[in-house]
Amino acid sequence: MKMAVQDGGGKDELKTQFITREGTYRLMTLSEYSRPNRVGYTNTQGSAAVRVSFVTLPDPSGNGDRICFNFGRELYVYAADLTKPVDKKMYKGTNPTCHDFNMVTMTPDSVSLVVGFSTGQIQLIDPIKKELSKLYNEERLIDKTKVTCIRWVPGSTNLFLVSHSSGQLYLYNEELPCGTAPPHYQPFKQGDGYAIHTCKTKSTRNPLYRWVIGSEGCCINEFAFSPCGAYLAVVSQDGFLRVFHYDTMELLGSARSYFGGFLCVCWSPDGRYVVVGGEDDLVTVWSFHERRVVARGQGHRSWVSVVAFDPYTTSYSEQDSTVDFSGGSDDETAQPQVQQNHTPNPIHNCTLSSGSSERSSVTRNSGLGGAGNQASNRNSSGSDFNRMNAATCYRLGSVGQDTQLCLWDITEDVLRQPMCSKLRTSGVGGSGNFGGSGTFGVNGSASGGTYHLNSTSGCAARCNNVSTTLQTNAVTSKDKECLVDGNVSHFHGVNMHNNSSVGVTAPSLTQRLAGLGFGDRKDGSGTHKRNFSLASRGGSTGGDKNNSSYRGTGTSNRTSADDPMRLIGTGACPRFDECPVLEPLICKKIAHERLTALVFREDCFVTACQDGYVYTWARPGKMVLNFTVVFFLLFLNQQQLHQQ
Amino acid sequence: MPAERHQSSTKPKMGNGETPTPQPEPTWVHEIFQGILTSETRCLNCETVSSKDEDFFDLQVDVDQNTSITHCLKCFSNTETLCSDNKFKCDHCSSYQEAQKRMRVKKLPMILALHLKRFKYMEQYNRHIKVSHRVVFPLELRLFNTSDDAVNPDRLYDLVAVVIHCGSGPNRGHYISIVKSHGFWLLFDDDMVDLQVDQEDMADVVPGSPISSICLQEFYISTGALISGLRVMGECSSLG
Repeated sequence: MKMAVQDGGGKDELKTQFITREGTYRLMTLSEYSRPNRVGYTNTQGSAAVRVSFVTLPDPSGNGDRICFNFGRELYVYAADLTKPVDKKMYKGTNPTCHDFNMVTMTPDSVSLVVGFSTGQIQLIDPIKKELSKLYNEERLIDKTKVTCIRWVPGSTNLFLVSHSSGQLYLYNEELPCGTAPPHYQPFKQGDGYAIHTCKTKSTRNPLYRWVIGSEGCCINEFAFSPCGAYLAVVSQDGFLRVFHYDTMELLGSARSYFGGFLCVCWSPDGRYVVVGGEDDLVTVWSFHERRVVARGQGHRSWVSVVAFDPYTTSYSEQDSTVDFSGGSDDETAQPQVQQNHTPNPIHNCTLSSGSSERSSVTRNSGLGGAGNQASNRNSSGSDFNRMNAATCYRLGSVGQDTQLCLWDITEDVLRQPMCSKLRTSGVGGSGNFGGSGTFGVNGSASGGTYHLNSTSGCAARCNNVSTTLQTNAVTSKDKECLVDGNVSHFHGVNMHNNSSVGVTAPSLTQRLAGLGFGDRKDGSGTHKRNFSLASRGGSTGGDKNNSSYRGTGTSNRTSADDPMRLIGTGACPRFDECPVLEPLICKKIAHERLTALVFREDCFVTACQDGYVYTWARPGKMVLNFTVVFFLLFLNQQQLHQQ
Repeated sequence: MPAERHQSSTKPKMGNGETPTPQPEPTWVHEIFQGILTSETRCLNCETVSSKDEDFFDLQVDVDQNTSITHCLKCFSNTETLCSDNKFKCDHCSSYQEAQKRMRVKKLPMILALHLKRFKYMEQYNRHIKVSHRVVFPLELRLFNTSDDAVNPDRLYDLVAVVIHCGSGPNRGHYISIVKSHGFWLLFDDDMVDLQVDQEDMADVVPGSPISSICLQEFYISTGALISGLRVMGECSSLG
């Protein structure tokens, strides 16, 4: 008996370049280091993920870039001087887990860096001046568990927020002491699924606030401030995304994973969407305005560990006012236009707030001046790629434990589709769009063509996706895979001209036909030109007419009472076929180990993986061997020496 | 390769490898573990789709490096083409034809037992070897590979038990299991029973550690199902 040995085959080759519509991205390596020996390959360095923080100091000479990353027990800070790190720290008995530069107080020769540790402590250092070193939670009186995420409060000189795996979030003021006794707390504010406490002491001390989020002991995996600084998105192991107004501490909305914990979170550069990734292998897009899940992205083969928008490739609609906002209010439309004007800091216009919140966001913005999202400080040429396109198109990146990088183009017309009504037959009425026999008749006859195409190309399920886009290409499945990027991107450009109403209806028909390839329901419901498809249970089965009637009964049988979570089928957690399913623009295996970091920069993006390797990928046309590339290689070299 | 996959998936073995006598009296084992797989085959000649239902007591999935159990389950339901030696006998065409086939879950069992096929026959070695790929599994699960007519396809499962094979090969080693009981994770190792500190550690330790790489079988219980099913776990752990 033979076995299908899928592992370790040729398909697992690492990619060192890939093509998108804007050009070719290349891994920056020196050949002799590009495939380091795996001899020193260790898992003994602890499980802390390698994270990367960037800062650009206001250095007139233009050499202000600094990078910080942790690996095992070590923490490195590098600058343009390639010979040695600016600062290197090795810790005993604990591992650094996360870090953040303060972009408000930084000067050309000083910067505050807060570092969180696996044993709960927090350190404040200045890796450039080296005078500063303060410890918080040193005796672990405040929290004993791992620091999972640490961030300076946007616009603040001295406040930082720290999350722990205990499910608590603390606000520290770097100037205040932590006290010699465990803090006593008193309730300050309470809401659905969270409670906030203050310290009950005579003199002010750290922590200023304690947020308890979710059920007891449920790890907070990451949090992120909105670009405007007014809102805070928190994801945790209980599978919830919670979005708060930071100053008023009110819960504005939440979402639930399809299953499992949410692991990572980020905001779109304009603050309109929150994207989360998790243990359901999905990338989930949540609309801030509508307070609901508007799309899910399926492409990863394992848990999604980082999601990040690429602000330089994200493009905003030029005439957004002509586009119909479903469920949006008027003030929202102003926002993309501002973006289009190429303001130096696109992230600061967060006009979406309602009523009371505007005040605070304005005040914070005034202090923000260049802080906020590291990646977007130097936005200049980035959004030129797509200027010809009418619809707003977000570029999202994600990396996961599957060692793959996925890039996603998310157009707003997809995100604006109303929930359910279009996608699903619901309730008593029965036959909705998909069940409709008319559509099915067409499908049945059309299925033949698509189907044969599939059969010639072999049975690999992934290829089903491709068949519609590439109908004329008689190529092997392997070749197809390579071609997809190119073709999809071309289509992409062309189709963007559709205004939203056309954009929604026309492709959905195409894609219903596409789904007939008998392909896997979720995988194969057709690569729609915009990398989006509806996981239509009915559509994908093609000629099997029975299914339409089955489907009706199945739907009506389902009630919310069946599910104790009670969230399935709601805006917080739509059923899988109730919400558009995005497909990645590209999906590439780029590492041997789990990927743990992804940062988009103006001329490159940077990825890191669990075994300590940090890779720089040059953007198309940017073959600059910038400093990061070189010193990472130096770093690798040191590591190897270290291990011998 | 597709042919092989076909062979293994057309004859899903019963949990114990036993073939039940025709129409056995339903027992509590059936109530708890039995689900239905529907196998849909489309003849490439006449386009006729035929489907056949089969009972299952566990799903045996192939493992792949750095994937999740979710992905392995999706692969389980990938469409395969039956061709060359492995053609499909189409009743409509009355001949052997090329066909496409996939298996999806039609009836979701109360307790879903997943068997990771870590013992693989490697032709080049002429023997079975153990595949130690890292496969992560979440503490809850929904199925992506349900059929269109599945009842309650959004059913949410909670992880309740894991069976682990310790050892380097299929011919030796030791089985242990980790079982959730009253909110605690208990490690059963022969007569030793240890408390796994807490749920967070379970989430942290098990998927991340070598344990997950050797995990052979996972039991997911449907949320809201009777907890009495838990007692069964101990007995079933020997299935590995």
